[in-house]
Amino acid sequence: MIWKIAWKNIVHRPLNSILCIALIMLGTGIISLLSIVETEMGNRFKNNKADIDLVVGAKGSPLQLVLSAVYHIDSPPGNINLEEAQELMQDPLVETAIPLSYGDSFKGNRILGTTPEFITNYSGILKDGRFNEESMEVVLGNNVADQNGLELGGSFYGTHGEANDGHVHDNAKYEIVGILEQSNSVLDNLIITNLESVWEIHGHYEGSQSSNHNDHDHDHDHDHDHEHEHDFDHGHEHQEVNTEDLEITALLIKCKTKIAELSLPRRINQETNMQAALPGLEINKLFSSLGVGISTVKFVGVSVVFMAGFSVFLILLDRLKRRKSELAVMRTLGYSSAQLFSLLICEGIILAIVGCGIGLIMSRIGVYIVNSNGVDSLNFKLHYSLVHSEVYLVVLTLSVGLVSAFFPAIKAMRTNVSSILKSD
Amino acid sequence: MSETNNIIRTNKLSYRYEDSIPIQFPDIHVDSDTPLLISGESGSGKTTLLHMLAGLLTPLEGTIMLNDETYSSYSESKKDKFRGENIGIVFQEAQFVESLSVIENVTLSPFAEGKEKAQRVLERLGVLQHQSTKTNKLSTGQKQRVSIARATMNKARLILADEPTSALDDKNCSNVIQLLFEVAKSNNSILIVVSHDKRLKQFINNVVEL
Repeated sequence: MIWKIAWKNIVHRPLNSILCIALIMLGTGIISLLSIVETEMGNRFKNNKADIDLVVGAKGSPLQLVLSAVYHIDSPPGNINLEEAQELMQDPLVETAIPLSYGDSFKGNRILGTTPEFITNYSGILKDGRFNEESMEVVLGNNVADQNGLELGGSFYGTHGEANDGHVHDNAKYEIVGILEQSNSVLDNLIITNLESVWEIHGHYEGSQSSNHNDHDHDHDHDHDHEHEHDFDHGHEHQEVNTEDLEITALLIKCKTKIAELSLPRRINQETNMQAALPGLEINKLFSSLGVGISTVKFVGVSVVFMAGFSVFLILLDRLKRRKSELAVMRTLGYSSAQLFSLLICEGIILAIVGCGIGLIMSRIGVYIVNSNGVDSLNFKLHYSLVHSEVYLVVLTLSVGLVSAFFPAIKAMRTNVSSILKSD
Repeated sequence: MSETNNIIRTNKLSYRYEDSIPIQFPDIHVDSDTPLLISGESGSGKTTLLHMLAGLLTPLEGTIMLNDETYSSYSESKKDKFRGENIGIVFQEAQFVESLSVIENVTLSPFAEGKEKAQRVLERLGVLQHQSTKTNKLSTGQKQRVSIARATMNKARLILADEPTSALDDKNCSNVIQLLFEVAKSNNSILIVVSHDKRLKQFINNVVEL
């Protein structure tokens, strides 16, 4: 009955109630949306880091190198020489090294030349088909296949660079031999091929079984007149290649020991033409910078929630003045002072619950808008499910509602019924 | 006198407001067969007496017994429960919870009987058609009827009416007092009316002057 009366009291004066609810909704909505973004980014960066201790690439911004080679959301700072990279791959401190080579895309999805270990590193599982073995064979990430309507057995031409309007390599058709299951990692948005495909398309390399590679004239500046045996397993038995000219974009390295994680980057940075970056460190730096912005907006959200709490307090106090005789009548009908206390507390909590509930709904609408308007470039989608920090948000909002109602509730409890009802 | 007659007795009641001398009240002994009118000028202490009878004020000295229960000495929470179960109060100016409808106000008490009884009582008092209306839409007379209906919803053994007719014209005064008699009689309730309205003396013979 107390809850029913509390609800009716809230509905009876809708303008006051709407103001409180709107403020609570605004505060919780802001905090909730930021929590979702923060959590999703954190998870996604953590998942995509996989088992990578070091990223080695061209000298330049280490953050750019990490973002481009690990998260695939930026252009690489440049390329590195294959021979130099191979030397590093043989280093006794290196446990595994995955070479990456890219520069082309299909409808905004990066075409990545790499070794089979790359897919293994992200625990990629085939949904259809098989893994790529020959040059110009590709395995598609789940989102790439879904969003572009690509199917097993189909083919497409890559575009130079990552823009949709770049030069189309219409002399080299990629064959789709496999599609990966959704992995919620970078794999979902990548087109995986072998390194030789990337080299072939850009004229650095000529594989013996490049059946899809047309013979028509193509503008490349490199000669291919050397025979070479290299370390990458690509299914070819014979290649003609000038290894001095071959380049890759980056190496993803897992070190054998923790000490190697510290010593190897120092050596690479000092003694080679390459740069080594630690993904964990760079992402922590990035998050520290982003964190300031997120914390500022969250602070605004929390302030709005507390403002809402203050408005709940003022409104309940004002209502209490108007409703003294109502509360006195309730006492004459057998309601205890504790029940009157509960009534006001219920009103505060209902306002908080409704405001918080609408705030959470609004944040989901925000998620929908964000997802619809492009976080594709960041390679992730926000999820609608409740994130851990939102549980604290709900508790905080309910506490604010409860505390705001506490003082008016105490006053209601101490109402002197006799003096209010006196007509003598 | 019926077998289950209810009786209220007071014994040497007094009350003191802060910084004033105690007010002494005459003893009252009344049963459900005979309504009682407590009369007196403004400031004579009749509402104070009514509030003590209702358990809203605790006497400085003396006792109040309803049948065999000396409820004047109960704790606040026990008095709240006792009041809810046994006492119905009608005020000069009917007070309601504004956000609730007539029927919701009538059944507001945690000790009130169900909606069906409320509808029967409202029908008997001629305001059933307003059961879904908000109370601020009612006339003064209708409000007073709803207030009387509410006072009887807990099978009250004691009905206290505080200046129930002071704001009414003669016709409505007569109607309201007859309604109170009727409701008290049908519930076998003791009826105590506190008023300075001299018109009531023609309806109630048992009068205590303060």
